[in-house]
Amino acid sequence: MEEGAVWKEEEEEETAGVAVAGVESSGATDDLHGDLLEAVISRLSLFELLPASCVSRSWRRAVALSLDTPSRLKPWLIVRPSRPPPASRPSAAISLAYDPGSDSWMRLPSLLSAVIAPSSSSSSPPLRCSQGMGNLLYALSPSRLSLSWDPLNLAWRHVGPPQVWRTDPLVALVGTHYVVVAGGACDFEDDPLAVEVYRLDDHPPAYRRLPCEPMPLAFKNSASRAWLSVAASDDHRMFVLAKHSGTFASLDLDTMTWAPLSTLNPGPSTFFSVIGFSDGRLIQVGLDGDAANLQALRIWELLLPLDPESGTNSYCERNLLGEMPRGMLERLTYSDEVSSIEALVSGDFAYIYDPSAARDFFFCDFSSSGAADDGKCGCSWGCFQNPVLAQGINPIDKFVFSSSKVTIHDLRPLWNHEISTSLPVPHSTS
Amino acid sequence: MSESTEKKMVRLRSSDGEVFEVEESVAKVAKTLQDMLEEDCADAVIPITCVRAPILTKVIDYCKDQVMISSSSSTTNNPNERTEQERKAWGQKFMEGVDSSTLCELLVASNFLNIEGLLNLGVDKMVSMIQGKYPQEIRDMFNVVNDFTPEEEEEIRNQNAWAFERDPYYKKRSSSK
Repeated sequence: MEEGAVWKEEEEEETAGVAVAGVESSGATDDLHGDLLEAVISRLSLFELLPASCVSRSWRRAVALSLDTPSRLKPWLIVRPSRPPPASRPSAAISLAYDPGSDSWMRLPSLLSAVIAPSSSSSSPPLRCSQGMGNLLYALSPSRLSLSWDPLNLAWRHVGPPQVWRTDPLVALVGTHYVVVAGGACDFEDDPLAVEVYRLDDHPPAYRRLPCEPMPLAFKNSASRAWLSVAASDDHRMFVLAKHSGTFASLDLDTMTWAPLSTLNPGPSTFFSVIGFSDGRLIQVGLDGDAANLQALRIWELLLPLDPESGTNSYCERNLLGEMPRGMLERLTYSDEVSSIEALVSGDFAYIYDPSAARDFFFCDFSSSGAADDGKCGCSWGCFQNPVLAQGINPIDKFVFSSSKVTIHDLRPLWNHEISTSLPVPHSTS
Repeated sequence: MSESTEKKMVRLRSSDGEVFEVEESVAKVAKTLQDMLEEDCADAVIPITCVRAPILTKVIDYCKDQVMISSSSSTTNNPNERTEQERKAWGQKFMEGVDSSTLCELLVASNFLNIEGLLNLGVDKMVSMIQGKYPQEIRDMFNVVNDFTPEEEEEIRNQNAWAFERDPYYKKRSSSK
C-alpha cells in the first residue's frame, strides 16, 4: 500500500512531460505507450520494474500504475538451500523466487550463506521456516538461535540457545518482539511441554528470557513441529493446532498463559489441517477424506469469538474461503498418498504443498473471497512444478520454502549481486 | 453461408499501399476485421492505415497459422492439436529474429487489429528483451527518449545507484561530459 503512495507522487507531473514529448518522430517505438506499454510492464517481474522505472517518464508512469494494481504485489515463494553449500560447489547455493504478480521466476543470490555459515559448514544447523509464519526463518544450533523475518531474510537476530535442548521445536515470532520456542525436546528427562519466551529489544539489540506456562497436557505426546502447526496474531497471541486431531490452543503473551483447549475440525471427514495467520485473519487449511482417497482441500477463515473473555470455544465460527479445484486435487494426489500438507500463509495468499514430495506447489489467492464474482468463493488458484526438481536436484530436505511479501524497495540491494532473471522453469497456472 | 464451398477472399491494403488478398477466415482472426466484415464491407479493399507491408505480411502469416490449427483440430478428436509446450515453442520460433523496431510495429498492429494471441507473443518477446537490461540499454533498444529533467535524473541516480554504477553506458556518458 505505502508502495503505491511512494510511486504515485512521482506521477503528477504528467503535464510537464508534454512539452518534452515533441520527439515522437524519432521512430515507431514511441508508439509504444498507454495500454501497450502497460501490458509489457505488467508482465515484468518486480525486479525488472526498477530499471524500467528509470527509462523515461511514460515508463515510470506505467510502472507506478502497475504497482497500484492489487494483483501485482502478491507474496513470493522463495526456495533456498537449507544449508550453505560446500565451498567446492558454490553454484549449489541457488535460491529461487516465484512472483505470482508477474508469473515469473528469478534466481536470487545466495544471501543466507554470509549470515548462517559458520566456519565449518558441515556442522552448520539447517535453516528452517516456521510454516505458519510465512517467512520466519531460523536456525538452531547448540550455541545460538538465529532468526530472520524481513522480506528477503537479509537481516538476522541471534539469541542464546533454548535452555532445554530441542531438535524439532515450534518456533514463532509473536508481534515483533516475542520469540516463542515450544516443544521438540529430545531428551527423555526434559519436559516436552516446556515453553521458552524471548523478549527482543531493538535499541540496542538485546533480549530477555521470560517465564511462561507450559503447553497444555493434551499436546504431551505430540509436542513437536512434526505434529503441531503454529501461527501468531498481531495482538500477542500464539496459536497451536494438532495437525491430525484438530486440538487447538492459544497462548496469550501478555499474561503468558494458555486459553482452554478447543477442537477445530472443519468437518467430520477432516483428517489433517494446518493453520497460518494472514492480515488479521487466522486461516486453516484442511484435508478431507483420508490419505489414500483425498476428497477435498479447503481453506477457512476462523472468526474471533464476539466475547474474547468467554474463552472456551474460541474460533468456532468459520468462513469457507476456497476449495481446491478438482484438477489440482488430482495433481496433488497424482502418484502418492497425501497424508500431510504444509501451507505458507501471508497476505491473503497461501502456498500449499505436500512436504513428503514437494513436487508441485499450489497457491490460492483469497484476497477477494467473499466477493464471490466467479467460481465458488471468488478465490483464484494456480499451481506450478517445484523448480528445484526441474533442475534435477532431488533431496527435498535440503531446501527450505518460505513465502514473503516483497516490495520493489526490498529489491534495490539485490542489484549489487548477480541475478539471472531468465530462468526457464516449467510451470502452469489455471 | 450458402456459398460456403467457395472460399471468400478479402483484400487488405497496408499503409504503404501494398494490397494483400487473403481468405476471409484468415482475416477474421483479427477481431477488428471480423467486426468490419460482419458489418459487411463486401468487395472493397480494407485499408490498414497504421501497418506497413512487411509487418502486415508477418501478421497474415500468424493468422494463417491460427486458421490452420483450428481447422485441423476440428477434424480430429483431439481438440488441442498443440500442447502448451508446442505452442510456446512455435511462438518463440515465430518471433525469432524479430528486432526491436519490428517488434514495436507488430505490437501496435496486433493491438490495432485486436489479435490477442499475437499481442501476447509480442509482449512475451519484449519482456524477454528487457530482462536483465539497464535503463540506457532499454532506451537504446526501443528508441525511447530520456525525457527526465536533469534534476529528476539526478534524483533517480541517487536513489538507484545500482543502475548506474554497473551500467556500462553510464561511464561513457559521464566521461563525455
